[in-house]
Amino acid sequence: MLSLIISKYKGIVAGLILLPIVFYFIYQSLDKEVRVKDSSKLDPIEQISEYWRFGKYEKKALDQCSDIPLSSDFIKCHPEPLLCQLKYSGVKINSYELRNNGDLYLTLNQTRILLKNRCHRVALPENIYSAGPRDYSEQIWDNLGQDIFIDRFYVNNFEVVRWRNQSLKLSYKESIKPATGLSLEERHEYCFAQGGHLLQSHVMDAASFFPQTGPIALIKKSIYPWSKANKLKKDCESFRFAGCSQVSAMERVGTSWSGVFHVIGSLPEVFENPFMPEANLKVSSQFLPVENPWHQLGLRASWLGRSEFDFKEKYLGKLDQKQEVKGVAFRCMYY
Amino acid sequence: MYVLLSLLLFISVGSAQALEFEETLIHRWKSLVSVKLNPRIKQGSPLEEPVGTSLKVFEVKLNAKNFRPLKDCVFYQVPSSDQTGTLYLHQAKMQESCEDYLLDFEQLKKEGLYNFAFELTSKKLKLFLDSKVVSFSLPKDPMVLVSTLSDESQYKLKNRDICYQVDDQCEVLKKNDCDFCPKSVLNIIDSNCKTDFSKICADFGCGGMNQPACIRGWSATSFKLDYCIPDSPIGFCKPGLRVFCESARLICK
Repeated sequence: MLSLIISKYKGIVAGLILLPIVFYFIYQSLDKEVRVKDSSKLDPIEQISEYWRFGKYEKKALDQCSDIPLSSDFIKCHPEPLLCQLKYSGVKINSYELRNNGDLYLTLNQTRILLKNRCHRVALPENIYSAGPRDYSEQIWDNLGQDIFIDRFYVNNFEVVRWRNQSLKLSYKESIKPATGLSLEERHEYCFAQGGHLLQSHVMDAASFFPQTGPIALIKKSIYPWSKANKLKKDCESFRFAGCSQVSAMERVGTSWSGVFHVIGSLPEVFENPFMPEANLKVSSQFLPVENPWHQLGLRASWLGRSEFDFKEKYLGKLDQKQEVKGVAFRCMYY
Repeated sequence: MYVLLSLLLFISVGSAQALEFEETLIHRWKSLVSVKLNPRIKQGSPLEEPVGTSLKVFEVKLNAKNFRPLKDCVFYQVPSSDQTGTLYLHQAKMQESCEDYLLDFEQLKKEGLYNFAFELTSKKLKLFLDSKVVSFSLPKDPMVLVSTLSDESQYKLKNRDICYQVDDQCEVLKKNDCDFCPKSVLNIIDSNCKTDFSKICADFGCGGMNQPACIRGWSATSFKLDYCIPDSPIGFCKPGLRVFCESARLICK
């Protein structure tokens, strides 16, 4: 009876037998894929992370899409070139959102990625430091057990526009100009919104003075950031003084051992100074001639935070009020 | 013939279930942040004892929606003579204890295991499921966070909340959640720990009236006594204010 049915419906019976076998082998082949599967190699997250962090984009991807030069530090942690590159590479993004602290949220294939805006910070090595311009100072402190990160560059126009949620489209040239139009209160607010604080004067000193060994009570101070030798470098590549071209926020000049830039020259810069609140302004800038004695580390004047450049003398006697000085820069620090 | 057919169908369905478990886990654990092992369980060799019991193997910290922290508690029911092993996991809030979910098999699970082992290195977590190996990368770039979960935990912090805390012995009392502060973070002095400091959420600085004292540090002062005294040298304030110790914390007044 059974053989009769089989012979009559042999096609169906063969199908019934073969179908599970086919299914079995399909699942087995999929199963093997799982066996060698590594989540890190399956998606473009690592690639996106590399682009965000190092800014090594394909030149063709930025053509007609972003005017940020590939060589600029500004290209790192910036959404515009990343989105250009992803579009060029055919990576479909479901949505993206730029926060006012510069963090970028991307959604692709049910996966949400948070790219943190931390490309332009440097950690201050743990040590004992001394604030102020002189060798011996009572302002001795240490950051052992504390992580302190410092913005390597000045806050720029693009960052302030982003913070204010303005949909203003800035050119690259406008974007990288140092932000100088904020009141002192607004600068504090800006840094809080970035998750940080206005850079403290003694932290700037720690990041600027060339490290020297010696007894703790007498921490030797160098006058200039580039070496222990107290020799001024009179070229615009080392630091920006009067007669040099105008400085951009992201320029690698006035370099210190710690990786912080504009520690000498460039623009006047305001700090928070809990040791001596009035001594809150670095005066060394591109508005002063190269031989001006303000071009030394640790010297501070006082800025009252009004829109006009308005400071008192400190430490080294009066600044020549005849110098035309416009614009005070700032940056943030983070714990 | 029917036996053969049933067997083939059983294998197919079983294989599909297995695939679902691993595929789900691979997607879900893309958002893996860290792994906390059960110190009593040895990694690298199959879990065979105590026979028939359920064990917490490890906890996996994940990023939920909006990158709030969540955890997966991973359990294993060790195989016995009358049942195979089951690997199962339960999603929990960070403050919950995994042990509360030890007997909850309802969530994602993989049954029919004979050999289960795991291995954790600084870069990868590997699960050995009989003959299969499934590996998961641990995050190597702290600037990039990934979230694959839709669950939103109710984790919120406000200004002045402690987001990281250590005690006098530098033991961590509260792990670092300062990324969830509404704005900024400030280091404070509230213990005798010389190598670490507690942190609070803050949209204010240090050294001002009623603000936390700024940190001068232990090494810079060579101070050896208890930090919690008036005019403690470990902290400093802006001129005109003094350091006080209130509620075990150095503040300026």
